[in-house]
Amino acid sequence: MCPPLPDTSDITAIDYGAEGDAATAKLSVWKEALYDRCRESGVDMFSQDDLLRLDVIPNRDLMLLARVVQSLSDDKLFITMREASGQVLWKWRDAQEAHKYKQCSTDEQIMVYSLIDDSGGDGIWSQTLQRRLNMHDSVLKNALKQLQTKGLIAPFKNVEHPNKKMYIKASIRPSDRATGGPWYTDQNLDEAFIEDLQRVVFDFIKRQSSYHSTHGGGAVRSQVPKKGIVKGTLDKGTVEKGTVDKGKKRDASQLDEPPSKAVKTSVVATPKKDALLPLPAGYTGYPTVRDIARLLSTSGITHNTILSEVDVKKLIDVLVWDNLIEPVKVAGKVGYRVARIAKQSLESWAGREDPTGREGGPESYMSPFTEAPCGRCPVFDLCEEGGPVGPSNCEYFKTWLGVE
Amino acid sequence: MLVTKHAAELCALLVNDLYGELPSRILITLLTKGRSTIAQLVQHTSLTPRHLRNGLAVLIQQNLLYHHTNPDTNVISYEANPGACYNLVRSGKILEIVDRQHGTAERELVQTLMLLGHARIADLSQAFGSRAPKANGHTNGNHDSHNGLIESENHLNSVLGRLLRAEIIETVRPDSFRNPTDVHREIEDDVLKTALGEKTASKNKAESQRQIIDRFRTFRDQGKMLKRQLDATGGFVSKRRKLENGRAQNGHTYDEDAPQLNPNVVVRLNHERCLVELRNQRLAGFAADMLGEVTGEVYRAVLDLLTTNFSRCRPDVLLDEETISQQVAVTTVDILEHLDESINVQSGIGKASKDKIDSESAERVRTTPPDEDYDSDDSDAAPPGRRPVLRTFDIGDDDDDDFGEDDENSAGATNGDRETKVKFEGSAPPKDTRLSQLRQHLLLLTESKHQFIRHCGTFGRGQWTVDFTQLMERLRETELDAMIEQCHGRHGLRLTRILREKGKLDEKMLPSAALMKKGDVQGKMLAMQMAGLVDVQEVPRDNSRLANRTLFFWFFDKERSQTQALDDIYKAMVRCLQTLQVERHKERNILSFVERKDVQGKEEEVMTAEHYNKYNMHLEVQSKLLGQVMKLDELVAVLRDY
Ligand code: SF4
Repeated sequence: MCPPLPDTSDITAIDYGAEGDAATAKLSVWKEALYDRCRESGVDMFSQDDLLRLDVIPNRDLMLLARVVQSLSDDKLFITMREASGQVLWKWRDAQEAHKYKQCSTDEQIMVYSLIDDSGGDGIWSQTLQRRLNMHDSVLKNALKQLQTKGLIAPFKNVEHPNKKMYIKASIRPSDRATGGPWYTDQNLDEAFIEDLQRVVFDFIKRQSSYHSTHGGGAVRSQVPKKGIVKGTLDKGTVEKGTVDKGKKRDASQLDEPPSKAVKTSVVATPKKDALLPLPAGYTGYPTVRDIARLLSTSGITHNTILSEVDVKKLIDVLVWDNLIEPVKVAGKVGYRVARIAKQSLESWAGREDPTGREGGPESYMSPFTEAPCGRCPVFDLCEEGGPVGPSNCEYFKTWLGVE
Repeated sequence: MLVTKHAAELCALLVNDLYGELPSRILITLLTKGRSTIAQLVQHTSLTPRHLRNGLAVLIQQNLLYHHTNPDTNVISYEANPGACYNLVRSGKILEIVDRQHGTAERELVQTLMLLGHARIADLSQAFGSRAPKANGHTNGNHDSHNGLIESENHLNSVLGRLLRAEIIETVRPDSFRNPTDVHREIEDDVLKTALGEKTASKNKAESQRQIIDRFRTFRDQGKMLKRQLDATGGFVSKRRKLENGRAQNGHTYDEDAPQLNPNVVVRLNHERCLVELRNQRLAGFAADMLGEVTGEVYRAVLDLLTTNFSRCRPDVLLDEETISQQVAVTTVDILEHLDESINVQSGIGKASKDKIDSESAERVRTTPPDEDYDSDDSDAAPPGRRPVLRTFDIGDDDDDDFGEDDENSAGATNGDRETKVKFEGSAPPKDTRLSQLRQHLLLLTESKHQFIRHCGTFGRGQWTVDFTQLMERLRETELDAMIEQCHGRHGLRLTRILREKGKLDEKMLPSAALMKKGDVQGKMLAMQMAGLVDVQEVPRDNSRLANRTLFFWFFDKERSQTQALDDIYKAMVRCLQTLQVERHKERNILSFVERKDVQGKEEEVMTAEHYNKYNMHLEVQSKLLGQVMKLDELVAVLRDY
């Protein structure tokens, strides 16, 4: 707590004692001055010393400071906080916000509102309110109702606790944690959106991290690529990103354009021998999180959702965990490239209408275990020679071998 | 080797397939009952001693058992050698690799040895020696070298010598049939018994430990005594297949004046060395799968060179060897020498302009194996002075992205089979260009996430080595990942990888990290828990034991997942082989018909169209099933042996 206040032998104190009205007027001047100084300082927490250092209170008069601060707190312009160490700190509150407290007509409302206010963007559960305030159920309900009608608070759903009745200040947006960030639409994880974005990101990384060879990588590839449709991503020029060489390459100008237009372009690859090749070691052009974030924001496929780099990093992390792409650090910079490049197809994954979701997608390594029926068998654990299911009566094997 | 039920079943099936029911029955008894004497076996199998002895003889001939005569009681005890039984499934692969790496004659010898189990050199000489003149007689003597088969005793001698030096075959002594674990224990007992009288100070302990290891190593290396002698005398210069081919055209590829081998020496196949070569093949395939065929071929050359002196894939646990002592390196120049001329190193890597390449990152030299964390040590770049002068990126100078199909390779290099190509000095593309291009592939292998090789020095245009232990760990992980992905989907893979990266993780953290719905995560985690991949640890927050006051931490159990996967694979192999038996039984009439001497070779003429079709279909089914078993074996090898 504050150190003991000095005796009231000070002039200001005497003044105050002598003329009440003038003192009140002065007090409000100091209040205003202190409040403004606090706002201008750019700091949001103040200790007693900090406040004195603002040079508003003359003679470092602690008594006066105490009165000014008390008065500001009463006006809800200051918030008192106590640290774990016991030190008391003050925070200033926006005048407009402070005004809202004035709208609360009862003490209960003020208490409820202040808890909801403190909970910020995460909101607070009605049960928590009750536990903290120890109010009667009906009193709390009433207070909440009043506050709601006044438009000070609003009920909302927090994705982390979908079944709890939560309240939040009406004037602020729920935090990302409460809404789930850009990945949620109406409190539901928007899986289709995520999947679409992943495909676009995968396609982008694949193109930017490989060299499109028309002679093949020495491997014989007999697969004939089909027509693919690129939705809202890149145009043909960037397919040959690996060949960028400014002023020399025929399509260098195209390459520098951001892939902005959501054009529908069909990529028709020439059959045979076309293949993706790895880029030489030390290649510095692998797309970074920032590059990918930029692609997504300019391509317009995120609709109105704003993705921060942190969000994009999440998306990329998931692709890395899925073994579809891999990070590579060159010259101190982390970029991403497609995994298992030698086997990837030239087509794009995004914008396909096939329900399997595999077409044009990443080619991942097939385990020999799951190639044969047993590896995918639903009754693998039960299967026993001579048992109800077993090799002698196995239908899966028959189908696989094409007998009968 | 701990034998699970499925592994035992598999061994029995393999033995049954190759050597019949009797040995198989004995084997399964030995596998389930453990070490037994004849008397015990009689009891367990209810076979007559005569039958038993026949069966045991077959098993011993094929090295499928350990046996040991107790010197005090003179009683012989038998014990199954499941590793050797399992190896039967690998025969085909071993023959292939021997053919590829050493030659057709070598393959023939190894095949013969496989049939015989183990054999005296004198017997082998007889077998091959008697056949040779016949072959010569038929072909007027000028044709015999075409098929590359063994054509004379002399030839056999040199083939044997070379294989011995390459450790593909080893000599057999009575001790070779003992279980190494037993021998180790015996040595241990012996050493400790003599040491017992003295004070057991810690110094003494270390000393006896050293003695044990020394003596056990002597025991283990017995099979290589002959190799040592040959190495010392310098006979049978081991020729790599590539170099040899040029000369194969001229007929004799062997040293006429090689020393004769002692005819009484008994030899057999050394699977451990074969595994090293199979592993090289697998790793090269892995690299090709990840980075492309050409890079895979380059990698193969690197591995061949690096592992010439490797006797085994993994250090022997009984010897307490932490790492394989041979940390060898090869230089770019050596690799270029060894690389097949027909491999076009110009292709297989994309091009990028010079200013897009950070050669410092690419060329960084790492003298020690990296830590687990891939990019942790990136900050301490090698001092720029160590960077070799680079003239590497000039391959992209021409304007189109033509990849030099018109390259300067000599005409001889492109016509026909690469295996039979003759190397002409001077006709090759300028050495330095090829070298630079080769280096590009090496750097690519280095930079890969899998860190196939490590750039460990700068002599000879760069020195390279492979950190096998870490690399195999990554290959195992890749295989396991594929299994998880195909059994539990992309989401399952994602969740396990998150757990692997973060260790134990609160259930609540998973959905947001994986961008999945809470319910979906729970469903997947439960399914994977059932499959034994992940497990959960419950940590109560207070002692109320309520579910909502408990934290659930999921974790990925790698050890258990691998063991589980291995056993599942055994089971899948067993099912494939059993299905084959079922199919054989179904077509038994046709199969017994084609087995008749007068039918063999002219099946099409003698059989009705319907039967012939059926027969062909059966052959297809058989090859599909056996092919599958081979592929599964590849997985077993990766998870267990390499
Ligand atoms: S044999 Fe048939 S039933 Fe048994 S595990 Fe294999 S596929 Fe399933």
